[in-house]
Amino acid sequence: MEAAELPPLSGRILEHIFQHLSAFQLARARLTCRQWNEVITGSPQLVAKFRLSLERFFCGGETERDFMLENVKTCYSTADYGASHLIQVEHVWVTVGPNIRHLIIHDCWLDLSKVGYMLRYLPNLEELTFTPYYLESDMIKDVKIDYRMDKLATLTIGSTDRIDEVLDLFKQICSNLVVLRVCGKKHDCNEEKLLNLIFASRDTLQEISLKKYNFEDEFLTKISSMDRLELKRLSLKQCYIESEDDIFNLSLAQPLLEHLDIQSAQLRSNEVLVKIAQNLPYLRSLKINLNKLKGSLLDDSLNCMPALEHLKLLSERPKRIDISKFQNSNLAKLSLSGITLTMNTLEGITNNLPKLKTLTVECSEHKSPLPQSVLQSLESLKLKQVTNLETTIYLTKSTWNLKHLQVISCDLSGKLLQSICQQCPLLETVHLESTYYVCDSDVQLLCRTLKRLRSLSLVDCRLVSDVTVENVIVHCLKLEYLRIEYCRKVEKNRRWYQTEMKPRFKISIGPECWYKDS
Amino acid sequence: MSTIKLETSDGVKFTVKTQVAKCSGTIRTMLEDIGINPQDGEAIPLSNVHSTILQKILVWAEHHVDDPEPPRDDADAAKRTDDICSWDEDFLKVDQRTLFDVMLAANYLDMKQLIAVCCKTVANMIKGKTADQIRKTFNIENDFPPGDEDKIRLRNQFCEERR
Repeated sequence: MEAAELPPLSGRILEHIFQHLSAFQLARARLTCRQWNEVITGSPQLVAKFRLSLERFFCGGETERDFMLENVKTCYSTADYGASHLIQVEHVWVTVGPNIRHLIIHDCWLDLSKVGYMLRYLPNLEELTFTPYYLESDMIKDVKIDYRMDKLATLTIGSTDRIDEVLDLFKQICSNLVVLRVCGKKHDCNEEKLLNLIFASRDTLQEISLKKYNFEDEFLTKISSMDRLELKRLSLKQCYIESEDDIFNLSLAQPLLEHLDIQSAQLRSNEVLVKIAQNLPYLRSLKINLNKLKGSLLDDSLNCMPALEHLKLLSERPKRIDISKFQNSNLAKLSLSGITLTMNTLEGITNNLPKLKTLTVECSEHKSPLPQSVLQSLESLKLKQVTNLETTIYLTKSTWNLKHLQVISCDLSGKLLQSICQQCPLLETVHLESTYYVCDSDVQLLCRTLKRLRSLSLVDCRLVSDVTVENVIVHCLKLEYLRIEYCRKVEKNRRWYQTEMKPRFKISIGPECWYKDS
Repeated sequence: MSTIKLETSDGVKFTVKTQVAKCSGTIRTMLEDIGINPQDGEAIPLSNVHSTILQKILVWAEHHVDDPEPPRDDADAAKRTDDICSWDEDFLKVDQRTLFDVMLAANYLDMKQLIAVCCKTVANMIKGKTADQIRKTFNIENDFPPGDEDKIRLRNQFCEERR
């Protein structure tokens, strides 16, 4: 240990250093000395990393609790209200409330009337996540809502009972929402209540994200034609939308849309997509479902969207789609699920999408011949349940810049893995999950070849044994994260975590997880 | 190639390429805004920097003089501590006293990239250590009044990692 005196560091430099630490490490650092403690509690950015756990709060007795309350008063801006069963917490909010900017209510048994009482003590709340496990609402009618939460901008409501009452409550207290996310429950969702909540914030809302809703006809038309509402992002997941006109009307009424996720809508023809594309000039991200699409050509419509950066094409049943003439100089992310690519599609992708960085292919069969051209821009490739892997993997041959590779439930042979390693020396992330033919010697070769490897997952690789794990730990000097869950031949061995290896190394072996850190 | 002279706190004079000296925001401001004329042959006084440290910093500046401007407000890059290039890693394999002196001098000279890489190095030294180990590592005195430490410990109990 050095005895030499160190020059004192200014608060500004310390704050700079502390920005690199996690909440866990910050909690330790503030115990070091007064200056460090003051720097950490005095910085809003650092304080925001901590979150107040109300669950732990209620473990102590009544007197202890009051003492603690005074202490916590100013240290937290994020609070976590989880798994505390119907506990009267008003006096907590009186003290802590004004400091809280972000509240997360999750996995607890709750009475909505208490939420109505409680929220009045949080005048500065900017973000609220509301996903209780069970909700009662019998008393809500007795609660007088005589306050508003003008700063609340982001509201997330998870799948919960009594969603109508919840929506009603928030309609009364919020009018400046910017982001609204609601997950319904399919059967008992009242369209009217949702529309009212949207209407209350129509001047500020930019993003609406809905999940598990069954809409009646013209619901989208009703939302989009709302006066003064100008949406930038709209996402509908697992929502049933029958009418194509509804989507068309949406595109007419909301021309500023940049992100549109209508995976649950049923597009039938290419022509509608062309029209949508013409109405939405700023569209940067599009996710669509092709289940009921007639025909296999999409090039026309996709070529009408030159600003597109992210595209997802999905089909629940295998569908042949030809996008070989799709040209786009901005597209960075392409995701294809359940799409059988026709001849020349790979060739088309490599030729016509010069900025493509991320390619995901799921549940797909390939019948196309090997492309001759090079896809230099690609950095990330994910393949899941892809048959005829040899063809797709050929992509890696031309992508020297590949940094992230995920191969899940595919028949990846050792020989193929070997050639990938040699072609892509820059790989930092390699996730091989449920690839049953990968064996010890393949992984060992991978460790020796890939000098930059930071994350390796071998989940459910049944041929991999202890030898590999030891090898990985010794040879992958930059490795931070190793996953070996469900590797049946690996014996869980504590020795790996105790050896002085690298700092910040984490290994995940199954139900439990050991950190070298603690 | 134009050069300028710098004078350290202990009176040592350095002749430095102007371009290298301009890695320092402080010197750049002196030359460009305040209008100190290096042609006069007069040395710019750096009263907060010792010659041994300036020598070291000049080695760093010489190596990084042609680096492109870093992207602004890259939140992701700011949080990472594993992206220190191997040259810098070797450069900062020094005793702690020197590391802290370099960091303070870099702060005085307004050299953002050097500050950043020093801060990351120190953050890596903090990671994985308990408060006691941190105090030992950096030779910090525990100056909390009796009882205060326990209060903070109590507060920490309610702390949860942000997901």
